[in-house]
This record gives sequence, structure tokens and C-alpha cells, in this order.
Amino acid sequence: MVHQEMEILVLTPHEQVLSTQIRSLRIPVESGYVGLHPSVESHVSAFEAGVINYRTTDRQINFLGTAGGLLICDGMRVTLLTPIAVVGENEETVLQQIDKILSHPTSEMETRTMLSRLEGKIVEELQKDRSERVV
Amino acid sequence: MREQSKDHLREKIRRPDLRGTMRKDFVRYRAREEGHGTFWRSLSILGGVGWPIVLLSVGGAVLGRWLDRIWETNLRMTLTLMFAGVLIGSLSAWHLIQGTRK
Repeated sequence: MVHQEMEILVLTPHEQVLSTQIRSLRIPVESGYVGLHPSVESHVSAFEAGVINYRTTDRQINFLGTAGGLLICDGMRVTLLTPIAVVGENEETVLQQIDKILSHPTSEMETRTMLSRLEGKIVEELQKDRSERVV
Repeated sequence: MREQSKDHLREKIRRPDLRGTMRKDFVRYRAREEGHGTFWRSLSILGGVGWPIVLLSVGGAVLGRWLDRIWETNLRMTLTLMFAGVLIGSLSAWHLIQGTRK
């Protein structure tokens, strides 16, 4: 039996942003975009920051802006784990919501920024050290 | 190669400009949607890519043949103008494809 719908569940560390039935979704990954339909093979993968669009059961296209994260798919349900997520019916709504979130960074976001900076510095130092050793 | 992987690593760890990324995604989405279902648009792109090469190379060959006959230069002008036609046609097709990708 071929299923026509699947469930999408979007979770951030603080809340469940979306939980609804959908017909399909298009998600940004490192090599471009991937389309997911009901009964797709079960898999786990990383997805990139950007806009995900999904087709609702009444065939409307809605948008989901995320900061990238982990995708868990079991064919009947797609779970997206991401630090930031906003849902909107159009470009303006999504961008307005993301502006709102970014203009009032939570302590968690600040910590993540600090950690990513720190990670960057460490990697840079290690790379520098390695290249000096090679020379 | 090492520099390339270093850049890639830097790109990965850099915090992305979320708003900019989303805006770009919306632009791509709109471009994709506009291109959808427009049979005549697709046909015009296909024609736009193929016809300049065909017309310019055949035109060049015909003109070259005529000039060869006048100047008695055997096949020199035919081959030169045909090659020039293919080159200009290909460049024009490339420009067209670049334009549609933006």
C-alpha cells in the first residue's frame, strides 16, 4: 500500500515548532536539495541551514526556515532536530520571524556562537601548527 | 589541495548568515517555480541554444563557399567561416544559459 501522507515533526531545544501531516518536502543538504515523499527509505542525515518547503495535505506550499541540523526519517515520519526553526506561509512571514529571533538572541544562541568561534579558532590553530610542521 | 580542504573546513565551522541564506533560498525557489510548467519558455530556451549554432555555422559555410568560388581559394573560406559560426553560436548559447541560471 502506498501512503499519501507522512508526518513532519520539527523540534528545537526549547519547543516543538511543527507537527502536522504533509504530502512531501524539499530540504537543503550539502549537495543541493533533496525531496522526501511518503514511504521513503528510512535514513538519518544532516541538513543545511536555509528554507525547507513542504506541501500540506491540501496541496498548499508552506515554508520552514531552519539553522540546519539532523534529519531522521522512517518513511512515515520525518523528524527535524535543529537549534532554530520558524514556520510561515510565505517569504515575508519566515524572514520576519527569523529577524525577531536573531535580534533577541537567547543565552543558548550566544553560547553556541561563542562555542563555534572557539571551535573555529582551535581548528585554525591546529591547521597552522600542522602546516608549520610540514614546512 | 590542502588549502582547499582548509577553506572547506573554515566554511563549515563559520556561523552561517541565516537571513542571507534564507533569502537566497527564496530567490532560488521563486526562479524554480517561475520556470515550472512554462512549455513555451522551455522551448524558447532549447531553440535559443540550438538555433544560433546551426544558423551561424550553416550561414558561415554558405558564405564561405560563395567567397571561395569568387576568390578561387578552394575550401579555405568555407572552413574558416563555418568554424567562426560554430564558435560564435556556442558563445551565444553559453551566454543564454548563463542568463537563465541567474
